[in-house]
Amino acid sequence: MIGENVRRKEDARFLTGRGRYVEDIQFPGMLYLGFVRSPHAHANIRQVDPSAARAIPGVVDVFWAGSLPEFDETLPAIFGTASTGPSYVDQLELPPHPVFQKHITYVGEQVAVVVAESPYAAADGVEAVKVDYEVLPALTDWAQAMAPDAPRIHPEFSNRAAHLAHSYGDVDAAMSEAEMVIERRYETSSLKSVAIEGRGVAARWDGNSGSMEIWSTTQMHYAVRDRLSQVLKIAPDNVRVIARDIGGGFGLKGAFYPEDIVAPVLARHLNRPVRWTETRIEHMLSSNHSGRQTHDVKVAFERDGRIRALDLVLYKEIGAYCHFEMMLASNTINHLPTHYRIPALRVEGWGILTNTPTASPYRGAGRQEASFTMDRILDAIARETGLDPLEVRRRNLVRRADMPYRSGLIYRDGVPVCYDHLDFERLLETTVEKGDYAGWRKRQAEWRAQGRRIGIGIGSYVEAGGIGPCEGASVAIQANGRIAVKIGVNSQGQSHETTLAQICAKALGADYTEIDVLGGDTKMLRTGFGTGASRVAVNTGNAVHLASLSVRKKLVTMAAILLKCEEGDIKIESGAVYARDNPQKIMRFGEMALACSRHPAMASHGGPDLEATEFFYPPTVVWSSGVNLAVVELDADSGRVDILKYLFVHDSGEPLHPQVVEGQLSGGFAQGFGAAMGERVAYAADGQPLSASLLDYYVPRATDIPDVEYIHFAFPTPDNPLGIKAVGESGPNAPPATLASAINDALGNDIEITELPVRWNHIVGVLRNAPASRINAGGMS
Amino acid sequence: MSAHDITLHINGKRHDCRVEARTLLVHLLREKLGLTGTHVGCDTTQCGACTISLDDRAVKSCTILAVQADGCDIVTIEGMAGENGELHAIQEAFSLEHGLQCGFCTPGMVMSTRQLLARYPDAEVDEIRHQLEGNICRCTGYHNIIKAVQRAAAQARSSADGREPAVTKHAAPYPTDLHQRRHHGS
Repeated sequence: MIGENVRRKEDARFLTGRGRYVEDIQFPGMLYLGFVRSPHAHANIRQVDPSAARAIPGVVDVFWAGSLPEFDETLPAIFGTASTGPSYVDQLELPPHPVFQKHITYVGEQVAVVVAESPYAAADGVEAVKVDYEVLPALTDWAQAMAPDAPRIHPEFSNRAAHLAHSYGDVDAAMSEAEMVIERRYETSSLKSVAIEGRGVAARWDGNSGSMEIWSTTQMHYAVRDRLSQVLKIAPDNVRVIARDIGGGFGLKGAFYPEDIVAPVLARHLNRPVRWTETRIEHMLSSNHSGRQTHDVKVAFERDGRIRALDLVLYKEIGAYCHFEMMLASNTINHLPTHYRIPALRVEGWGILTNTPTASPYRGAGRQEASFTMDRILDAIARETGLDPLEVRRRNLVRRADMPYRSGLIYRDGVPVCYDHLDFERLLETTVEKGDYAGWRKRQAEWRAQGRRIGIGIGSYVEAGGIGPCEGASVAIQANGRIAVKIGVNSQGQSHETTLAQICAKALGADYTEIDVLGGDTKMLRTGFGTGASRVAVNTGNAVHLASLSVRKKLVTMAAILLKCEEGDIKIESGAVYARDNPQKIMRFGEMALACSRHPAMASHGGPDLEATEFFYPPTVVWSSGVNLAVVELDADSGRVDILKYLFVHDSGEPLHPQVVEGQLSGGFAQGFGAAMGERVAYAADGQPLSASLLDYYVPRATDIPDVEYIHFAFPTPDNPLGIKAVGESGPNAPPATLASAINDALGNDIEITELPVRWNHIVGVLRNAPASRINAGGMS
Repeated sequence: MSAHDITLHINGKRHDCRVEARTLLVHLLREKLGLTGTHVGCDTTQCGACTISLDDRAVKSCTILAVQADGCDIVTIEGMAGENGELHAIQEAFSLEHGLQCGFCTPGMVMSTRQLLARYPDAEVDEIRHQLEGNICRCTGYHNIIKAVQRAAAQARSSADGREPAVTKHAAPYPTDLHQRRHHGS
């Protein structure tokens, strides 16, 4: 059952229009919210004049800073899957983030909310609200914001909001002893998740029980519940957050937003259900983005290509507020070495406030930046030493014999990073062989003589997934034989209802078709931590496994009593228990549940139900890894990048559902492709967004994406009972590094690509100035 | 705001509606008629999540006023499955090939595929990619969507003998030329 491509349980409702996303929610008497948002990146609100808006038919009311005491509440400073243990951070001073305030710090920040009888009336009302602003100077660049004389974005706080540092080995000695030292700056742009469904929230107050029901697009429904319970001053159990069908998340929906408070507060205040759904322009203006990151590196290495030491100073634009500590920077640092040895490392990182929305994880969450930095360093070493880029990689590889390999890094759960049960050599050599590296190098030289420019690039990634603290699952056999698997996480498309049912079916001996996986509702399980950080398969998967085994144990004990035989003689198969020697003695699961419910023997098995709840606590993260190879050709006239070959070789442990695994990779690949080829959240110097719609922000289309060949490995791991690793964030990490490397290889030594996305004008600039005939054949050397 | 009385035939059923002149067709479908399978994913006609069939043409219902659809035959995702709930061959192919993850772009993808197969039953990969350029998927990377469309096309070809095609071919099909491939990048 595990490892089979069973039919996805989610598909039927999604394919027939029966999904239920937040914007599909309609309650009788529902009101609709529209937000007035600031057109200025930095301003003080002098006055809000709602009179014209209130006069519009259908507009119920307008609220803004000071209207209700709950609007002074701050969004949580640390949210969701931020650090659970000691991190590298030694300074962290984060400004509070009230729901509505008079000090505006980014374009798109909420200024007022209009409540109306219809979404159209709400939009009319938003247009009619008059706001008088005192415009202040804006900072959208970390270097400006870090300057000693820079104006402060928040008067009480330094723009240098966070700092981290870590080191191991003797970096200074290596820098002075090594034969070669290079310095580079690598820039990675801010990215937007652009899930096709925007954010949304619907809220309904129940005056009878004093409880709140919320439908949300969140990836962290328990964290939303807990914060709203504080804001609304009611018990967590009186806040029910339902996050059922979510149209993609990719991290952006794992954050907490002002609208998450505004909707329920107004639902209670007005005693009517309310709904808000984000428009795409609101998504581009107001939702979180990944935050631009700059990497200043100094690398010491020998003439044979071996790295001696790396010194990194990292600058992270964290936006006007920060809810994720220095998680993204620390992820970059902890994934930076990817498959390679860095014997001595010193890192320093700054989190810098800017006049943009908050930076928060976007699929990969710092890993893409790590792979890009590391692979660009390896290519730079190849360029400086004259070695082939593949040879440089081979000489620095962490080999099987080196494992368990402790790099000297410490993960954000406080556990030292350790590579084990991994095989980077095999991934690399498979890539080289299946990707026909040698053949492409040969063709590259031949074709260059004909004026064709092709380039070959290799990129690698590691992905630490499955971070704790834990997840749980409750498995119960019901009287009609159906099995309910209740979980503390929700899905944004990951196929939990399918893969977790497969795990249950195998462990319990149940029919896959009889299992219903129920998540995305705080009433299902009391505690959960959320979908993000590639943690569900490892945490919830193993919890389902453990809970299913516990139910199975109860089944065996009770079957022995009911069938009057020894426990050792009980067999379980396809949703039935029977005596090994007498197939006549058989009971279906439903019959067992009925028989057990009134059986006194259940007193010593936790009560009348064939039910068990278990939590899985992973000791630390588990590491997935992969290597990508790209062969590109540049069109000499237009600079267009054609991808002749793309190979994706990976290990993510035992696949629960191979088709779903490949689906995760191919989706992630497309996002990584976008980051390489054009995705960029850009701001003008005055803080105006230059990427405010899908007309301005590049998202890959079906015509853009090349055919990708996937090669799957499953290196076994004893890290958890199911032997699984993470895959959710494996896809996007290596493509930007790989594509940048291949494009640079095609362009030759006239340029060194050091930023993402790769700029078309850089490609065209080289092509214009250097006809193909001038470029030496044979890679970057 | 002026109100207009319009009649739509949606998934074989007649609907008489009174709408504001400015009402977009997608909002009439979703908010007034409860057909929430058609989704809104952008403000600028980029994403295609709202694609429906309007008189047998795949149309982005976020960019047409409801009054413009007066008298038209509409098929939405809710009208694709058979009377007894059996999946349409396109839906079946998307499921078999894992051509959907979160499901949000899926109704639009299915409706665009419906037109694609009606017009270009022999479409090769490049043509399929081209025909789906107006539908953005952020989950799948299109990898399995392409496979699903190929499967549905093969299925339609193999069952074409002696049977009515799933979708009637439009009398005057659009030109089949492939536009020059867009350049990726900023």
